[in-house]
Amino acid sequence: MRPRLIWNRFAEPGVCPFKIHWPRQMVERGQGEVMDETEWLIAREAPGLRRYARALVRDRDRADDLVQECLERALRKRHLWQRTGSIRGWLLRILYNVHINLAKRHRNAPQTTSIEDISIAQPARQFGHLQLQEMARALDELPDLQRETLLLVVLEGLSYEEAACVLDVPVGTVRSRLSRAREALQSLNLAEVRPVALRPVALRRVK
Amino acid sequence: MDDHDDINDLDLHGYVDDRLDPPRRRAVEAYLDQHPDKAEWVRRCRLQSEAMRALYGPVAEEPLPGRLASVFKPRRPARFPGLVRRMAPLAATLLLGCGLGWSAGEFLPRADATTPVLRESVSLAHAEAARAIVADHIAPSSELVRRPINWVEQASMVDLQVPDLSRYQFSLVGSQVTATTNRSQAAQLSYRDDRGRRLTLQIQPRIPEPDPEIVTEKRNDVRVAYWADGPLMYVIASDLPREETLAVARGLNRSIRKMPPPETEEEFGLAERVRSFFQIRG
Repeated sequence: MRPRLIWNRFAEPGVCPFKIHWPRQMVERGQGEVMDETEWLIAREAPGLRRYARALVRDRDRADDLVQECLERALRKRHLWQRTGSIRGWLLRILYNVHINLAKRHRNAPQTTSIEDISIAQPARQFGHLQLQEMARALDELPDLQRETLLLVVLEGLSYEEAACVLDVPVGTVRSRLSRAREALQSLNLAEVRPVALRPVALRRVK
Repeated sequence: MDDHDDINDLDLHGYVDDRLDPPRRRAVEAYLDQHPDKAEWVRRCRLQSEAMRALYGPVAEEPLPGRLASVFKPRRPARFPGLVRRMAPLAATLLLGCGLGWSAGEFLPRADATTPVLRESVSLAHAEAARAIVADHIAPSSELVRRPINWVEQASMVDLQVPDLSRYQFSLVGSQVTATTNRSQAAQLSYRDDRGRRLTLQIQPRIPEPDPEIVTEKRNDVRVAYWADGPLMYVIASDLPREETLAVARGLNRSIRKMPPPETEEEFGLAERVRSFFQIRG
């Protein structure tokens, strides 16, 4: 949005009648420090980006490389964010493109992370360590496109339309990838060890 | 016997991902009652989803490593923010034109203007809680609760989640979009704990312009009006003359923000004409 000079009504006495409407607001960070509003919005999404990146490449350092490249690119190009969608979708799209480019470059590089190395911070209450590793293994065996789509919807809670936008494919493609990924995961039996009651997912993003 | 012929795989995926509207969700639930094989499929999908979140969800809770945090560099407020760099020639001329004396104070954040309003408003709202409380307990996922949060999300482009305070024994008892003391709007969530103590939360997008400046111009022989509303930009084109365009645009802006229509039909007196004259020139 271009800044524009507007007539500031009949200005109060002592106030400049001309006021430049800055396209970006500054956000206070305490101690008199400020942060560009877009930068603040980007920083806010960084933890979520790390989560998706870790699920994509599994290796901690490579995932953080990915996020760093994504954040730097996003900050460089922040004026290109059209504010037509959520900033999260825009960032995930950048992250995904960075991932695709890096994957092309490293296509022949040996895969260093074995499934057993995946660090599982703290096994959740209803799943054991082994079950989570099995889940990781099953995800790993999915074709890349299906895995990337499934994780966007399930892990990041994106709607099918948002996921389509991130992956730059039609919504129908998202649905069919999701459907094939879930069919492939059906053989996975997570419930045997500790059954969990079917319940609606309570802690989800609202949108 | 089967009343749910129209339920397809798409609905089941939507059900697993919690993306159906309530009537459709009830239809799918009824369908699942009759089709145990599909219910088992749904149960497995949900378990897998939870396992995926359990596997990678904790990553987002980790503190940001230093090299990522250092990408963001907070700084002291600049006398002339980044805009001047991009628009240097024009901005320099304009700044000279309107004088340098107003610089720093004018460009600093306006956040302080809104927080006192909200502080006053939330204390008043908390005091008259009876109106805000709609039920003994409402589920955080219900439509009623989502509405105010969706409103804030739309206005700020920031994704939010209805806060869960159950570990502090507070449960949600009310949720509404409410008017604050300066007639702007805020989302209000009311909580109550098991001892009857109450907690009121108000959320407001930080860049509220209750009455944004609307600019009109003629473009390709069409009357165009545009205005910025926080992070949003509106543009309308119409066959109406300027005054009517402005009136419609003002009504539209209030309506899309779910505000009541203007109280009095506006008259296009001298002041209004002068003002719109300057707006068009701007």
